[in-house]
Amino acid sequence: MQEQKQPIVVMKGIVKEFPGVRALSGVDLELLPGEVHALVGENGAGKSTLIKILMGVYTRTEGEIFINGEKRDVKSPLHAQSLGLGAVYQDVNLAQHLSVAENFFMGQLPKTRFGTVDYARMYQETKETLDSIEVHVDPKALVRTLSVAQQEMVAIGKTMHQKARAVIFDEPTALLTSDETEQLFRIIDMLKKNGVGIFYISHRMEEIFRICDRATVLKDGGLVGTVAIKDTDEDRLISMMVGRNVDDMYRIEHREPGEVVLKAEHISNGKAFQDVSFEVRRGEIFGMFGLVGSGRTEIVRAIFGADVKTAGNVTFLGRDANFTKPEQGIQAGIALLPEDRRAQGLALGMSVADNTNMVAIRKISKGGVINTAQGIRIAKEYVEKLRTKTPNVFQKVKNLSGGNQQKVVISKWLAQDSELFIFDEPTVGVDVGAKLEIYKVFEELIKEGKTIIIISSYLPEVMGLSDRMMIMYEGRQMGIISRDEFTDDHIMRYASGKNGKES
Amino acid sequence: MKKRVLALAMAAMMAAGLTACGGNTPKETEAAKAAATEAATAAAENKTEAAGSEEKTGPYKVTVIIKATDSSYWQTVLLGAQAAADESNGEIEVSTAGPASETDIDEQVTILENAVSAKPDGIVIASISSDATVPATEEAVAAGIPVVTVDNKLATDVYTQHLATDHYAAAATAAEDMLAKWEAAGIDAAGKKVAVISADSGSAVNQARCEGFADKIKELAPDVTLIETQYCDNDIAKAQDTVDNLILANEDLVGIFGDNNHMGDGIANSIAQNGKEGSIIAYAFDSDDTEIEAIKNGALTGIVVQDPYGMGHDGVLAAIASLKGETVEHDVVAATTLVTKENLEDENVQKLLYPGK
Amino acid sequence: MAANQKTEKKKQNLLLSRFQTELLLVVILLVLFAFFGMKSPVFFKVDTLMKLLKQASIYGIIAIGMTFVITSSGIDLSVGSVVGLSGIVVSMCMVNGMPVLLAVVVAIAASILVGVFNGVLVHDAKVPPFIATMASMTIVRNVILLMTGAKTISNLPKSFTAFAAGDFLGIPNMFLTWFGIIVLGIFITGRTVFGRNIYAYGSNKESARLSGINIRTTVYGVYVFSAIVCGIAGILMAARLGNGVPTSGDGYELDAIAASVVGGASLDGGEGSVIGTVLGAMIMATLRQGGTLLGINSFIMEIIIGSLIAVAVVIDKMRKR
Repeated sequence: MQEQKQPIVVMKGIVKEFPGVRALSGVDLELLPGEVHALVGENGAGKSTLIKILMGVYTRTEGEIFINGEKRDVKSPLHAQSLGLGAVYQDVNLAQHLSVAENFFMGQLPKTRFGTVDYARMYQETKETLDSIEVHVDPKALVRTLSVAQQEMVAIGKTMHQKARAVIFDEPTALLTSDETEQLFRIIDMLKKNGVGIFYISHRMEEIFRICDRATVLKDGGLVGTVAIKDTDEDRLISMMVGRNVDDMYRIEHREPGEVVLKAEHISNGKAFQDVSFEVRRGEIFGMFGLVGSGRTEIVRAIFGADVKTAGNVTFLGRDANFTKPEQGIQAGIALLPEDRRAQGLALGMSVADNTNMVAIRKISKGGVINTAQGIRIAKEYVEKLRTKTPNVFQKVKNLSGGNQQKVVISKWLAQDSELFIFDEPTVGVDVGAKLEIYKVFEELIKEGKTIIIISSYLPEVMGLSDRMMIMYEGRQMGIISRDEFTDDHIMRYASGKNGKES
Repeated sequence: MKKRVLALAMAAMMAAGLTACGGNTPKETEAAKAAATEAATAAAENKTEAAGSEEKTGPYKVTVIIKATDSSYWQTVLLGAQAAADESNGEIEVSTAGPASETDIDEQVTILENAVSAKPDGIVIASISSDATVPATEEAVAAGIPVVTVDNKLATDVYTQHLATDHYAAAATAAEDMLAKWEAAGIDAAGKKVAVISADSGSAVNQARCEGFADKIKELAPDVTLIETQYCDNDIAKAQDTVDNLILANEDLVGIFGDNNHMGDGIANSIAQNGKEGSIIAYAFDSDDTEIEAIKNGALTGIVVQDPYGMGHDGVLAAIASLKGETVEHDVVAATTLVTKENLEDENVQKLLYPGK
Repeated sequence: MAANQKTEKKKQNLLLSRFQTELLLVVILLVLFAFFGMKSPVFFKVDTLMKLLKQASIYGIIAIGMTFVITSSGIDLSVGSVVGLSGIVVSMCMVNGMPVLLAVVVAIAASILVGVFNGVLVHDAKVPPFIATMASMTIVRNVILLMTGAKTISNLPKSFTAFAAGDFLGIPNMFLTWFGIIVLGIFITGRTVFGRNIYAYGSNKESARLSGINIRTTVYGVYVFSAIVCGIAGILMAARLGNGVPTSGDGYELDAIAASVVGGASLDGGEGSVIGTVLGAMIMATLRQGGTLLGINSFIMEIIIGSLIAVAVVIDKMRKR
């Protein structure tokens, strides 16, 4: 009983200084057994720095850390692990080419008495751990063959296997569908009952209010406060985070749609999607919703020219638009902001200016020679316009937060002056403040007569923003509905493959 | 890996080249046939004498393995070997192989092993390493294949004949001449410096040359300072850079010795570009066109020239002689010549410098 | 974060952050200069410095081409063979009576062929650059040996060989050539669409493709550029040696990669600096020259150079963390 009351983790007066920057200035944090503790704040607020200090990745400049009541120095991630701290990161860090069981036992493979690896025992114990959290994955399966969700569950299992008493979840639902998210919540619930403490980092308010007990809010490296979830509400929490009031996240000024801009007729691409037809009008925000793997991304990639389609016809601005190369799509005036911006949208090692001008480079060059000053001017213009948080336009993009990276991706397509903007999961891993600014960009785009297609796995977002929405299920188009028909129930029925007419 | 591919390609290329040559000279073949009758009697006599010789149906097949196909020196060994075959009126056939570069020890071992498996009548090899080729050589000798080693001595006594330059002694002749040339030029070398430029730190032959030169200098002119040996990866440009730097650092540099022709080229280029002809007395081992030109214009004082043609030629003959049961001398020292401006135009020197011409 | 304050300081930091690798290398170079200058009375003589520039030139030229390729996340092992090829081609053309300038053009054209061949293998046949250029390295070297019968080509015209030995206002022509290529390299990487595309492609191939960057032009471009500068290096080499030497350039790829990597290029692609590479090449040349001047054992010198490569890369990685 006594042990239950003692906090698993206490961090007191944590200060972290990087050369020239004070990333954290005196933050306190506490985690009780069986508690789900949300850590919230805009990107750059210091959440990940704090977590990295706890996990032994960074060393603190000042402050104290107590683990199970004992003052400790967490020297390395391995040390953190031995102290009973585990972490499940957004981009799960498992060895992709090893089996699930091998990942569990990495660095401590059990041996038989002949000195060979005791696979039987490894598989057995892995299975037991996975079963205990109701994750049904074959211990022998190679990690790279698993879905993102399964990998995440495996990562959780791994922390359980290592007997972690405190587990940190960093944006765990970012890449999960709603079913998978439900499963994750069940697992968290189980961990909680076992007395494990959980730090939960997420930008999704809905989730925080559903599963968390307390929340600690950080802003600009400082502590705003810790509140009990039952004593607060979403608006109050967000205003703590951003320091201002948020009325309605998705309220943007819509526009009366004009002529048809994009028309897809019976397009298919092998297994990814079949016989999809739709029209998008000028000034419209056209949503595409469906579970991961329902073919949404593949459709827009085929329209853009990044993938080839196997059948059907596309017209754009009244002209044939069956593109086979991205160059053609770009030339015609289509912009694709891909779902995985780090892997597909940005050159992370290059500067904000370089990335901003990557597509529209012909505009600032003559005979292959770039007018660098003009490029910098353009980059600065968009940094100001989108309020991108960066010390300067020469900053490498990898040093920016998720939301600001997304703004750079948007800048590069705004600079190209495209007609149709396709946003694939534009707000994944983006904090609330930046999200609002991205929505603001949507508003301005349609005001200028541009057209938007938005793909999102996050239903409130598509519902809130779209004029019309196409719902996909397993590569098939289940229906296109307009704003007045939007209801959770209606949409989810389509998205899970059930015909809307059935009751 | 790279060297291996290269060597295989080269070996294939050369094999093809030789067959093509054979095909292209029908006159020679016919002449050989005619001559063969003449030689038949002598051959028959030899055969009866040969202990335990089998019924010989074709010509003697001798495989000649050189250190590197990318060097004209080793190509000259092949020329000599080929000449021995041509002179034999069809009694001897020579096939040749070798790695692309003198650093490919592994490759040469592989080539030798393959050659042994093919069971030729004799093998002539210029081994890069003194050790690596020993097992295959012993295996060949045990299988009754005479092995003549040229140039480099192996760390075994199991071979038919070793025919080689005494690199240590030959290099010493350059040192002796250096002293004479200093005297003639009125250079007082006492307290001054001499440099040794080496192409390869890992080769026993190069080591012997450098030591032979250095030891002789120490013996004859103990008051001369020898600069640390500089190694240049058999790269002319590197040798040239190194000598440039040595000249910069040592105003009292009066002598240089290079342990092969590439080093000689680099030394000569550097001396010419720094205008040090006559004030630095320089020698190198082995010859090539650049060096001969350098001797003419004074950038090099002399070169120690071996007789690769003779080695190739005599090596093949020694193998055949052994097959025929004749006694062959176990160790033979091949002659070397110090070529300087004075003897450059001599007929026998010209033959050495331009073998096969 | 607290962006408004310390604006002035940040501006300085910015300048530093863009040139940190280069600064580090300049410091290393200055330390080496100070050391050798103190130890050797001749080190600071004009003649010595000019020789140093000359000695660094051929490696330096090749390394700039290598930096382009490495930045695009490729590698070019064929550089040494292209140096050899170009030297042999220019020599063969000239001894067969071709005017010097025309011979130079033919040699560069032959080099470009190798570059295009590499481009086709890497871009169209999707062969990993390491394998592709290893193949062309072997092929080209043996083409050279086949062409020459492994024999050195002598009797090059004096007007040709005089270029390498000559100077302009006391500065060696070889260095001037290198300098020209340095300026060109800085211009291309910093100011041209092609140059920026190399970085974009090198850091993220998929984002480059989705940004409409012409991948073919970029990949062909880097290998052809590398081949052209190696062609120039080969011509200089032939002029310097006064001969077309079939084995020349053998093994140079390693020195070029070393200079490039010491100069801050990342073998993962997306990073690489012409100035850094130049400094890397200078550091290596300084060590080699200084070693000879001081009469340091050449094995020890090579150990020092190897350690320097390791240390430079480790420091750079730590700094970027």
